[in-house]
Amino acid sequence: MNEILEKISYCIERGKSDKHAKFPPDLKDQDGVVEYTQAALDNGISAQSVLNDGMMPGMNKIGIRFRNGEIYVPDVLIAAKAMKAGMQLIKPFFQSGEAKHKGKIVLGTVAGDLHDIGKNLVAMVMEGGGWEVVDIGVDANAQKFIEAIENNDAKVVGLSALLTTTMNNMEAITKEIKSKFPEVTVVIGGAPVTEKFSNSIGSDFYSADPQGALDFLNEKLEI
Amino acid sequence: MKDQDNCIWIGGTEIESLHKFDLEPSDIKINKQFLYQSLGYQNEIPEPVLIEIDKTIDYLNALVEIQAGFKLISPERVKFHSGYILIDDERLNTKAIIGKKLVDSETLAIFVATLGSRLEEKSKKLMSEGDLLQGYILDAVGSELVEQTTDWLQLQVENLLSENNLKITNRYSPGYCGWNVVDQQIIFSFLPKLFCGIKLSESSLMVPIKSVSGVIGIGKNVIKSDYECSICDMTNCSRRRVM
Ligand code: B1M
Repeated sequence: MNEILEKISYCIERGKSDKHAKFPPDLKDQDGVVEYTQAALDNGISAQSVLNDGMMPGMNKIGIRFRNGEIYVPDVLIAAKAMKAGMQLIKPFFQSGEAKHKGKIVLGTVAGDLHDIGKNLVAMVMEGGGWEVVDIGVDANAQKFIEAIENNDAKVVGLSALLTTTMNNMEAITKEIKSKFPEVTVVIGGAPVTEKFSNSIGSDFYSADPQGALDFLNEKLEI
Repeated sequence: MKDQDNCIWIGGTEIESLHKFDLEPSDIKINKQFLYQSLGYQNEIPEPVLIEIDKTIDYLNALVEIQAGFKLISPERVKFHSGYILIDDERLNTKAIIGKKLVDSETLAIFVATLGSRLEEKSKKLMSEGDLLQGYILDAVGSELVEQTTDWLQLQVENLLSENNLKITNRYSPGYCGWNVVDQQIIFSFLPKLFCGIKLSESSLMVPIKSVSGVIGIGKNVIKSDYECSICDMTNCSRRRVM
């Protein structure tokens, strides 16, 4: 891998956003994601490659370490912030069409539920994995999901819930989505959700953590 | 803080009473060890996380409106069975794990506690503006604060009853250990409407989110242990208190 791209990946993993960032202490005064991203672009590396071969590998390592219980939510957030800083430089290339996302995922917390931190984390990991997230917020009913799928031509939907009562609302939402858009993949998650429940309501995948959902989408769907 | 009820439990004679407290944030101390643990950390905590926690605790006061309260139910209204409790004709299906812990009780205190909704609004705002770590830490501090508030409330119940030689069990909440979260509908039906400013939705979600509900068993021969995470079946819970 190109040395600059490796540095981008490493800085994301370490949460080093830019030269002025004091964290982590051992990288004080050294370049961070922002400087290396700029250097990569200046050296003619495409924005797509910066994203795919620099940023995504860094975030992917973070996601795996989180799933393995080696690091925790705040560590993921620190890395995501570093990536976001670099993403600012990549954004214009998405607008011009030079860089592309892997696909769109509509993400929401289901009807009756107002919890959004878990969903936000999934959104962040998906973005870090190169997906464009359409976040429809909390308390989202089937209609809201369906409108978002239609308006964004999305092929993937992610549902989140934190209580057993609201988890049950996932069933009707999944069934309505599937009856209107049989080709759309539905992924579900949240503290009370289990694989057994996921199978029983006809969703395509259950993941206990955001990285699992990302891996599934990356591996199983060639979008 | 003030107890807005002057009605007390008089030695052995059951008097139904409602107790409500408005607390200052300074009344409740955040246990930082528990907070670190709830964030997942056992040993080394990254500096930005420590800095953010201290910053958050400093500005927390402006974001919380702590209210807590409990209702003591008259013993003749309550019947304990191993898997359920009857209050009048209403059945709380605690299921076996919690039922067993309450079965020696003579009556119950039904409690709620909340931080109000300003904290969660601020956390949402921070997250949507991209301040992910700040938003998340604020949310976690809020969760710890409401837990500590509930500890404090439990102590009030304990102190009040100890004057009458009565003891309490640990507190138990619908939604844990097989007790369906829907039973909150019954719990709330015994409390005044919007008690402590908490609204229970159709899906049994309390609003504000940073709220807790539950029951505490009361009797001469009941036992309270230090921590009871060991009875919960969610063994991978980040909040599991390890002693
Ligand atoms: C699309 O694909 C995907 C893929 C992965 C997906 C996904 C989608 N969506 C989420 N994920 C996954 O990725 C995220 C990152 O890893 C994760 O998202 P989460 O949203 O799960 O995780 C957040 C990032 C952090 N997690 C959290 O913030 C929740 C942590 C735990 C410990 C928890 C906490 C902190 C709290 N709680 Co309570 N609480 C529990 C939780 C047990 C646990 N360990 O999960 C849970 C959620 N609570 C529960 C309960 C019962 C309750 N709580 C209550 C209260 C509270 C506190 C206020 C004390 C506090 C704060 C609540 C809050 N949300 O702000 C009550 C309800 C509150 C309300 N407003 O109605 C109350 C009802 C108890 C009561 N009677 O008072 C249980 C719900 C299960 C059920 N029976 O319905 C519970 C699972 C605990 C348990 N051991 O059973 C994964 O689930």
